[in-house]
Amino acid sequence: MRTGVSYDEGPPLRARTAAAVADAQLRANLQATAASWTAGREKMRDEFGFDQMRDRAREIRRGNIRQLPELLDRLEERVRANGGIVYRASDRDAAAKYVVDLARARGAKLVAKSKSMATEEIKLNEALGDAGVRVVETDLGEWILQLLGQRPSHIIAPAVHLNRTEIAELFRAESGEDIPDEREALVAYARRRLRQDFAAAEIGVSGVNLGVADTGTLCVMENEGNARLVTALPRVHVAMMGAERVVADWDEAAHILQLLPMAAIGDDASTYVNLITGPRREGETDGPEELHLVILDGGRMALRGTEFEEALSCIRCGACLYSCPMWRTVGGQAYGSPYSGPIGAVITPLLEGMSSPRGSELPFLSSLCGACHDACPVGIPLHDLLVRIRGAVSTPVHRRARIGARMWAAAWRRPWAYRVGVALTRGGLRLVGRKGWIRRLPGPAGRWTSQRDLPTRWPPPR
Amino acid sequence: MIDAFTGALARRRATGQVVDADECAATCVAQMTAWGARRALVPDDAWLARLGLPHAIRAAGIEIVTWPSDRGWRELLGLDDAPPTCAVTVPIGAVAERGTLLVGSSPTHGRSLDAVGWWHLAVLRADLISATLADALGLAYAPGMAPPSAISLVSGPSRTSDVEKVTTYGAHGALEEHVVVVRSSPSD
Amino acid sequence: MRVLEKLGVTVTVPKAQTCCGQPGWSAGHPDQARTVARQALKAFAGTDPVVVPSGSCAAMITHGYIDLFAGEPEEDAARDLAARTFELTQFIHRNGLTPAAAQDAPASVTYHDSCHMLRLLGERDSPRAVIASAGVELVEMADTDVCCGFGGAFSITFPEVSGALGEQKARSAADTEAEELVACDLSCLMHIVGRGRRLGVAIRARHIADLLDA
Repeated sequence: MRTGVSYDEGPPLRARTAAAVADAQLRANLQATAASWTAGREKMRDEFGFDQMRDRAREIRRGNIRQLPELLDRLEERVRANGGIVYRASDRDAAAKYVVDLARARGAKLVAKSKSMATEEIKLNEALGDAGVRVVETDLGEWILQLLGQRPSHIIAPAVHLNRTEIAELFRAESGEDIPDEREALVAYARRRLRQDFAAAEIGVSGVNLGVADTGTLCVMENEGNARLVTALPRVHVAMMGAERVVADWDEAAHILQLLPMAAIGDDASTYVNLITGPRREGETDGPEELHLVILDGGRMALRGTEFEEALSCIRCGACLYSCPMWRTVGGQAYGSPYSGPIGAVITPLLEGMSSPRGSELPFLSSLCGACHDACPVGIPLHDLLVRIRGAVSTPVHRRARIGARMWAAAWRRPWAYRVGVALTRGGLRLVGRKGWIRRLPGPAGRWTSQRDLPTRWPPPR
Repeated sequence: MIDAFTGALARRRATGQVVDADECAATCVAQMTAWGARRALVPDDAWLARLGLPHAIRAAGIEIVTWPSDRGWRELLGLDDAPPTCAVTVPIGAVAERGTLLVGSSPTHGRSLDAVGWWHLAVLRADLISATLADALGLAYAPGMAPPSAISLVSGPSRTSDVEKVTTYGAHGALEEHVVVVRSSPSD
Repeated sequence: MRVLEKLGVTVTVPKAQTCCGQPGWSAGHPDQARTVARQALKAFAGTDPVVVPSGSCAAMITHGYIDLFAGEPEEDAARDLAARTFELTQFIHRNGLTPAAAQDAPASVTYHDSCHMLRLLGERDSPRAVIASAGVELVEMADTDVCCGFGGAFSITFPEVSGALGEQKARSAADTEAEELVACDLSCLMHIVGRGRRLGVAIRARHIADLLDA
């Protein structure tokens, strides 16, 4: 089975966004998604007191990040006491290697996975594939994308850009069966087909929405039931957790677990939350015999104490994506990073580096409208973080732009130079324009006129 | 609290009813029959036995598989032409404001129990219902007590909206959920 | 300026002013933005309230300067200026002024909530109150609070996405069948009108200041 196209290949970011803009089916799907999320958000606000919950959530998460080392120590101690094994992975490669080594040691041929952005981040599927281990994604949307060789488009709803006819064709090709393109039939087929893998997999891999330090409990939230089966049937369960995803106690956990589905799906509960406090106990006949918690640092701890620290509060609800006009136009795949949308534009440079290929580009895929800032349930100041990160990005392109910025600043701090510049621009536009409009400008300014006519005076002629 | 809970079930796309202990077994079997279940997966639970449920299921001609079972996973998951199965659970708690069940693991009650069957029938003691999620979790994880190795917060049947953003039920867990709330009596 | 004078406000227009510095700051050149912004601190030094006919520039001063000058020698001066800077309709509404409509004002308009005005200044009501007091009918468009897609340098770094958002905004505005589109930010209007014209969606637009009697 294909393990998916790497994010690092393919056309550049602007080309990907342009292709997305031109994809009418994608645009229609994204628009429907955005509308339903907005309706859900309004309902949560009006009927379930969502706004009132946000302040407390922000304080909880800030407290968690301040106490992070202590919380992680306590979580580790409790997980071990419950019979689990804990591995602290300093970086992405170490985390992937741990799982690959474990699979080899257990002779595993099949790994069943439920959705985990952290496993995307460490490219676990590729690493296992390279080691000859088959990996099957069991979230319906993720499985569909795996069959297509594509990457997920969103944190919460991976296949949001496909329609049922496309999915039915895919299932028919895969199975040789004649599956009608009705939703129930498609879901029933996936259920039947994936149950084979739940029964056969030697290792189950899941993410972790929240770790509760007090009892060493891992919370895995879902709607389909695949995470339950992945964490209960295989003999070995590997739980991949970002180091920042820990709360102190059950009061905090209850608040965040209540808030998460409200922010993510506009409902006051997700179907299942699996609270895992260790492998199977004496006498139990389901549950893994081994529970491995991999805690992924990968650049997270280094953000504490910096001006970007608040990015660690993120609970990966996806609300900022749904609210973002950019994401709503191009979808998640165009970003080319495991994390897309506003939070992706912030943490990709923070985790991969300010000069990294994706990290240096993504912060600019934003009109800085601030809708994400408003949508975030834990109050991350995404707009301000984007601006600060833009200031910290350093690539050859950016350094050239900096030269231009220096010239701009040298001129525009001087009133006479400013007035001359404005007058020249006005005059120049009038010279070039016809009947008060310009349809084509040369050079980089041509990017403006690639989309819009430019008026040479204001108000424009009637 | 009971009314709040059964009212919230509708939001979760589950159904429920409230009965006395002596009506419980018949109610459960009626639901299984209405669903068309030909097999029931039932925990080896003393309270269920006192309620007469295993006996009533057998009497209705529905095959019983008791948990823990030594049948393989393929069989339990319903593969290889296994009969359509209703999984019975005995929740350890519930949340009135959300219509959520707390389904806990033990040697006689699998952590995957409600998800392996096609339908989920929960037999819930009324006095186990808490008002809020924080209350229910506070009880389940009270300091000084070892909590179950796994608790699942179950809020309705399994679903996905991965196909065109329209919700479809019966993904990898149960297709439907019905909760039979049993009013507590002094002999419990 | 003339709008305010007509309302009886004494207005000084400092000749030393240039630019608030926002283009540099939002494009990721904070040092250069600070250089330009220092000129604004100098030009507007004093105690008079500062009125800005742009939601974006006003938000830069009231919100952006706090971040831009944090830890700098000018931090106090920046905070002082931020506290007495207002966008035009914000100033008019908060001071209870009631401008009449301009001689050539349209009978009906639709209003675009520009992002910095709406989210950084928190101003949804002031512009609408000013439109109402001028006796102009307001027809609300769909998704009035969704970004028009201009975004400064974004308009030329990701022109296709910018154009897609501008198209949605242009069509929403045209669908209201109001006579004109108004907003507190000229750059949004140039982008929406220009995009509309390219697509054959004819929109007349004016800055909110031009709606008022001067």
